[in-house]
Amino acid sequence: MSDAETITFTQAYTRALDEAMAADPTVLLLGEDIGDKEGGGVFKVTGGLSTKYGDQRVRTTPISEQAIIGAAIGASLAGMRPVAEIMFMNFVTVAMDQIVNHAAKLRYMSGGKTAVPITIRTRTGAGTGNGGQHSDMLEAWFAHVPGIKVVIPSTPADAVGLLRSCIEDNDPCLFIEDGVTRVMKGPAPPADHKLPLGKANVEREGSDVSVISYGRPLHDIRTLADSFAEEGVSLEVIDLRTVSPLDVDTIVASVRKTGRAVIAHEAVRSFGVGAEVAAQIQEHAFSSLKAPVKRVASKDTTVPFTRTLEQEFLYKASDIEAAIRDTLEGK
Amino acid sequence: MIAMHPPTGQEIIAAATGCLLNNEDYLVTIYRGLHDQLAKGMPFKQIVAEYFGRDTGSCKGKGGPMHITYPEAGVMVTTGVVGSGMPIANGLGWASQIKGDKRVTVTSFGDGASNIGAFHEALNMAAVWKLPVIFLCQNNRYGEATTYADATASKTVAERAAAYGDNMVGVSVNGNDPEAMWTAMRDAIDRARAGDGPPLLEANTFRFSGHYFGDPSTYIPKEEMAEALANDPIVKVGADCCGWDCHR
Repeated sequence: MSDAETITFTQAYTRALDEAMAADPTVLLLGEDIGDKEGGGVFKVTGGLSTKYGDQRVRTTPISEQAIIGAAIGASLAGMRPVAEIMFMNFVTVAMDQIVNHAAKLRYMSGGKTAVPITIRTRTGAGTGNGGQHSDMLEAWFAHVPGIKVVIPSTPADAVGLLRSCIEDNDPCLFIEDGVTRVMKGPAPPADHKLPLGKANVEREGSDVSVISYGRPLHDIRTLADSFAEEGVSLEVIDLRTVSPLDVDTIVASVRKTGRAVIAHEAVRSFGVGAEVAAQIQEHAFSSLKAPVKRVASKDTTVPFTRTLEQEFLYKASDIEAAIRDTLEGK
Repeated sequence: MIAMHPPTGQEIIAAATGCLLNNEDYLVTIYRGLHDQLAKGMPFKQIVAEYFGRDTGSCKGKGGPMHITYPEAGVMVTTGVVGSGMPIANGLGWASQIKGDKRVTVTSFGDGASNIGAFHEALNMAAVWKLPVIFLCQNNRYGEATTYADATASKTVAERAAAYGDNMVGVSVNGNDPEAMWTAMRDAIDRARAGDGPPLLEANTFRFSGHYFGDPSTYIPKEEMAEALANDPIVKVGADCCGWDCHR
């Protein structure tokens, strides 16, 4: 693959924002350090955009997460489509009132009179040595709030298509960017690429085990699917793309076919997205199951700082492999 | 009128504000917002229907008294969470600034809300960005059942504006005096509309009916309540303006 045909995740985010701003003058960006004067964002996603679209549409904010999300909500009520950057996902917790009590609920509570078409972009993930307050995967928190869409891409091309769709969506979307794979490259999508929200991608069809995931673990699962294929085991790989609303139909159809399911996510194990997926499978495909539904996740603890412990905290590709082998044996 | 969180005693503030704002201007208010919503031009029937959870209410009965919305008259948000409307008002102001539509946004809140972090985040951002937002503090002396002095380190809410630099002015007025309130609000709106920066306007008033409907208000000294009732702004306005002998 030549460089001309590939882009990194970071380039994908930038491209989606650039395309969205060019296509729609109501698309605005706000967040800490996002202007070119401040270096185009800590992770350089917004580099060049304030120069291209002006400081009014690309606004650097104070370090005030409540004020950032509040301003995004207010501007959206007045017909804008703001995209707020919250530097690290753990900082999103500072703005929970605005997100949970307002962004998620205003369309419903107004009887549909107002809508909150905002996108919140945030970066997270363990494995970067940032310790407990800069690494959490909190997608399940937001998936548990009706009214917010939660989106996590697993390829640069999907990142472009999903972020474009988040910005065009009429409800609040939380778009989660992985900190470890952000420099990883993948094929570039065509111009104006958009993907439907709430729709999972069966990226590899198979007959023996449904492996359901989103975000970073898919990089491991793709490799595992190749090696299992050499053993004659056929994995069906499902990338949820959107954690909430969950594409239950695609999951259930797959498990009815394979009879076995492994769910893998980077977030900690308990009370996570894996639990919801497992519950849906058992409600809708119980009679098809040939083995218990397996969850693979990171450990239920604070993300440690020191590298050895941080790696011990994280789920491993070998955990996913072991879970697949367990289901094949009916365990 | 029975409201869940009655604004009785605070009507002059809303009346002055309502007659100075245009229909297109935005209002963000709070659970104690009946007076604000009416003065901004909301039809009374739709408010009452919403209170009773009817589908003829402004929000089809899905919002209720603490979440009244009526964009047709600029009532964009009513929040039940103390202090959380101000950051949203900034966004409405930011949109107006980008569009150049000359609208202003009034965000109304109580004295208790001035101790929440969102107040300070919002005022700082509004001042840095010179947003066309008027921060209207209806200081009714009590945050739920706690007195202003027991909860607030500054002597007035208005003096907190000094912390946000030259772009913000802080003004404290008698919110129960129609002329003083009207003049202060006119100046605040003019300043915000001209793009000269956000005013923090503290309208001093009193809450006659406690925090919620049926609140026995045992935490309010009898003398304080008696004095406030003796100076009921509605009785005074009725007498001064029309020679009426009004009673609540």
